[in-house]
Amino acid sequence: MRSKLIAPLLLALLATLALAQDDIPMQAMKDELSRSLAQLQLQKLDKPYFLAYRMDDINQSAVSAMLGSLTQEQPSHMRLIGVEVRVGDYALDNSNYVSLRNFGSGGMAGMFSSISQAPLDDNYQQIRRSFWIATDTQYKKALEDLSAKRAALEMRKRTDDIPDFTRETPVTETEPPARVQVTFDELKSLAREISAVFRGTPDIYTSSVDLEFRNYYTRYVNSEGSVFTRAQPVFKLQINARSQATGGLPISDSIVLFGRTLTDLPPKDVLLSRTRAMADRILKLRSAPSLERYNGPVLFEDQAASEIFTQQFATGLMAVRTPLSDDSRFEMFFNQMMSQLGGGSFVDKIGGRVLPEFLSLSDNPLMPDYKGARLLGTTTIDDDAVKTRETKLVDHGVLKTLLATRVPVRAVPHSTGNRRGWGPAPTNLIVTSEKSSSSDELRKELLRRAKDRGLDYAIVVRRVGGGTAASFMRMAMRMAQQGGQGGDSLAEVYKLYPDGREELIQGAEIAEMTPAAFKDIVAVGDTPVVFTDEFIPRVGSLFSLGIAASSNVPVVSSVVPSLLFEELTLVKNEGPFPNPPISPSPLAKQ
Amino acid sequence: MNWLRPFCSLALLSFLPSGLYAQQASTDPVLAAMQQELNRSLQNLKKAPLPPYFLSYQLTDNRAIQISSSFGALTGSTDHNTRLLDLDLRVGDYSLDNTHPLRDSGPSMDFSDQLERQKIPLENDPDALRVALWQETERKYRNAVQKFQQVKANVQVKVEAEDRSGDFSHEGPETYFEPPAPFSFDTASWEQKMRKFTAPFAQHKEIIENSATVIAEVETRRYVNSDGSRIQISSPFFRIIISATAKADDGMELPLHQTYMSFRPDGLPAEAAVLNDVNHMVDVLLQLVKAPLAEPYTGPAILSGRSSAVFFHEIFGHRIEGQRQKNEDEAQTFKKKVNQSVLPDFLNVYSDPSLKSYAATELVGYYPYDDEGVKARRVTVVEKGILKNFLMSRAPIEGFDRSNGHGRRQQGYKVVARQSNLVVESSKQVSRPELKKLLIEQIKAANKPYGLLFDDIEGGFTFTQRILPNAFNVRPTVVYRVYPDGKEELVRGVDLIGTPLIAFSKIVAADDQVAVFNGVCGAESGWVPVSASSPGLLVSQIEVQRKEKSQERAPILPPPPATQTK
Repeated sequence: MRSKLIAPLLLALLATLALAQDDIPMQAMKDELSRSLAQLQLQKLDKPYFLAYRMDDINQSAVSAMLGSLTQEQPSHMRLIGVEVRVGDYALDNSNYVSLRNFGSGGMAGMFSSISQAPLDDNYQQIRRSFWIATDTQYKKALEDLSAKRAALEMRKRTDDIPDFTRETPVTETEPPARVQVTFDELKSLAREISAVFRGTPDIYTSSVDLEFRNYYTRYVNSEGSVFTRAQPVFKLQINARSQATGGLPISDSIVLFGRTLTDLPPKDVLLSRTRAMADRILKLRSAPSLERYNGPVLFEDQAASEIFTQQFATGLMAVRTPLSDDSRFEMFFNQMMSQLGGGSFVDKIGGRVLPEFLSLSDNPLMPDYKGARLLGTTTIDDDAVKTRETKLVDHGVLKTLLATRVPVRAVPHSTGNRRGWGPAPTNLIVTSEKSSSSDELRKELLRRAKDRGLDYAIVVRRVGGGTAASFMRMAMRMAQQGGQGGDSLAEVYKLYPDGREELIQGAEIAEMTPAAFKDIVAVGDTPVVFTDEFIPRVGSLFSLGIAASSNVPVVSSVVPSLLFEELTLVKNEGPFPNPPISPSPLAKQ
Repeated sequence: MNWLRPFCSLALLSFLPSGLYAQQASTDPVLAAMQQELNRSLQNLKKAPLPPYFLSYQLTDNRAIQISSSFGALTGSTDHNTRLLDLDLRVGDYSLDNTHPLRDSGPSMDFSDQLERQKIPLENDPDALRVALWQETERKYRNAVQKFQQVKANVQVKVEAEDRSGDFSHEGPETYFEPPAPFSFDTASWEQKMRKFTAPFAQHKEIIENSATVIAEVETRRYVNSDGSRIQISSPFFRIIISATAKADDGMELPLHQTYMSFRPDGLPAEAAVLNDVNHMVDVLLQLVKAPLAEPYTGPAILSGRSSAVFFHEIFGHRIEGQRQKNEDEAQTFKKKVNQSVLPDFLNVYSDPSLKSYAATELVGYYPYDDEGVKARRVTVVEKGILKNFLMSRAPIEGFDRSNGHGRRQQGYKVVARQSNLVVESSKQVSRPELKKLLIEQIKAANKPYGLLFDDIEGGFTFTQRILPNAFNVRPTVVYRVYPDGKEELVRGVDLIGTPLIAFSKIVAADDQVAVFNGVCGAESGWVPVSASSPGLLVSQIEVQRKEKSQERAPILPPPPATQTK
């Protein structure tokens, strides 16, 4: 009893202490939140039981170049605010509800109305005004949604009683804005220099270098007493190159690197030589042999292991709640859509085996680096102001839980501290193994298994390619009926012969890979590598189509050893392909 | 062209030997790279089974500084450089090519231009530029060949089109060169000004939304085509847009807008003048909030010059754009009306992109050459009430097989015929008080309790978003009731309805108060600057209904205080 009395006192004390250091935006947010909580009520209707205000200060510098010449230089600064209003109570509130009837009028715009812009000036009154208007709009919408949701629930027998929102311990945490200063000129000259590599390769038809520095500073306050500020600078370098084989097959590859600062990236000479190596490989691929159907063991080496793991397995690790709707067909459609997009959740697999018994997997936001390599998912607090912690996802092959936000699902009743942007996302995914093999041993094992099947070669994948952003683009193209041509080929695949000879293969793609394939991993390497990419949860991506640009896309690092799959099917990409160019590149004649 | 020069020296320029242009033009490395790559592409594509018969490149360099504020605080300040390529490649021939509309194929879902758009180097390295041009030429060629097969099949299976004119007009080569226009803009001092321009709105709880934006840009368009045209046009463009919305107690939202536009750096009004207008906006908004609701009404009305100008631009101007007479999905209101009366005989209408000012006001619909490299020229649309001509791009229509320099687009869109400077003139005029007297006579004759005066109309224009809006909305924002005794009373919630074209036939008189409306008009080919000018008009019968009001209540809590309360 005693401690319960002390807690609010302590909180009040902390709040006063914090007040002294609050900057103007934080003061404005706290004052408007207190006023709304105390006074906001429409007639005799429900008052909000929960309010959260967020402000993202986003300083961004984006530079792109091709062939040594800039194609884009864009510094920008904006402040996005988000207001979360909940009426009802933790068990049943206005959230987790989609009204199809109102889709026409409010539509997608209505879904994203909780995001708006705030002034760039530290103008106390105008920042409060932004929150005042946003809160008013969201409160009215919340009242409407709650009454519609109650009506929808009366029409049917409710089968589940999972609460809409979890209770979590309030947290106070402050962090000053990141002092990382990247000069625009520095970015420009680096982009020019790397992109100029392709001036010497006219047969690489398009190439680009994109450098982006996004400095996020988040201020957050909620009615449960949580307050935090958090700095998350992200630096991204992407080098793309595309060509076509003589038969038309598109060939593309990219190098994507992330860091907190420019100095997290490899030095310039390393970047240049990696770019040249990629260019050489693309040129070789243009006339490389292709492969007919292959059924057999496949080794994903180094980065390729991380890529296949994050693209095909990790997307199922999120606890995604199916929203209730006034039209029950929506729930059917939602679940169908999820599985069609390959992003079905593992929620029904909890307690079952999803990996071989010698493998375990955890999500670890508290690990700053892996053997000196920076991990980008590291954070102490998530976007719901929940303290982050390590989550053991898979223990000796068995799925234990999923990553969740404060929106619970049946098997995951509490937040795991994984709200990142629009929903749950991993932070740092760490795969550990009880047995491991050296690179040579893995290759020997691969060849032994191939021989057992009567194959005269085996397959090694060293780059998968087509990361989340690329597959997101392809999905957009398909939705726009552009019939995404070719495209899913693996970026770097070799035939490995018993004598150790490697042969580069063009246009190979994996046929029908499902997460079940990961149960049949037979061996793993002993030197995991760190691979970092943006993470767009596939289902979430559909709902954030309109605001993808303005949301903080989570960056996830994964530490995965090389993976040897017992059996996969590889087929030849049959197109159709666009015709190769009629004219040679203007660079060719010089 | 340099906008600071007096008009006469500009006229003088056109007498200079064309050799000089060629010399200046050939020293521009970008234009030279464009020409080289155009020639090389044509040469190489000649060997293809279906060689293009027309190819053009247009590169648009744009530097835009945009500063916004709301209620006295800065909300955005950006400075962007872009260079965009618009490439027109045609296979087939002038009578039938890949751009021919496919009939019964539903709305076009081809977003390939948006999704696959080639990035263009901002810097003037000829090699990098030529690679970008080459890539885009190849992509467009592949699409054109594919599309042309569909066109041929579509033409065979469908009934013969009503309009059998060709797909592209023959035009001669043009050469014209302006050096890149000088540009300077003091961002810091304008950020301060923009804060001041929206501060007055923060004083009133009735005003729920507010923004002010200044856009200062300089645009250089370079154009080459296979007809032998070579054109470079460069000009700055300055705009201020101020918007505010008040909310009445019953939830009705009442918007007001104020815009200023000029091609000249000194063409924007002084700070004091803008502040004066802002204070006036605040006054009108506060009056509107308390104004009585309009009732459904049919009867005589005056449209002020400004209202008439917007009205003509939206209701009349868009219907004289050439391609609308051809597209079989369009109403084609005027197609069969050529040489027939469409307006009272005292009205003349023309469209003149070569006009730089009118009624002592600068016109932003000015341009020397359109986006298909055709020289801009004056088009007499209506003479003494009789329809004479349409605004034409290089897409011919029956009876009108040449362009008259109205093919326009925002960078990144397909060219269609658009308006430029639309001018409505009356051969008989009365003074403004006289026009009001005539209105009162009409009110009495029709035995109505009052008439209406439309002082301001919100045209179909928006500035910050590039999403295509319904560009043909005409929403009156400031409307007065005029009583037989001459008393005027502000009302709110007026919505103009009925068949707008009938209104044209009911125009009975014009005043001598010519007003110019400068705006940015959005349609199929994006946003383009336009103007419309008209005297005030008396219409014997107009129909209005009550505006559908927003169901959203005013905010529950009052606005937050200006400073922290301890």
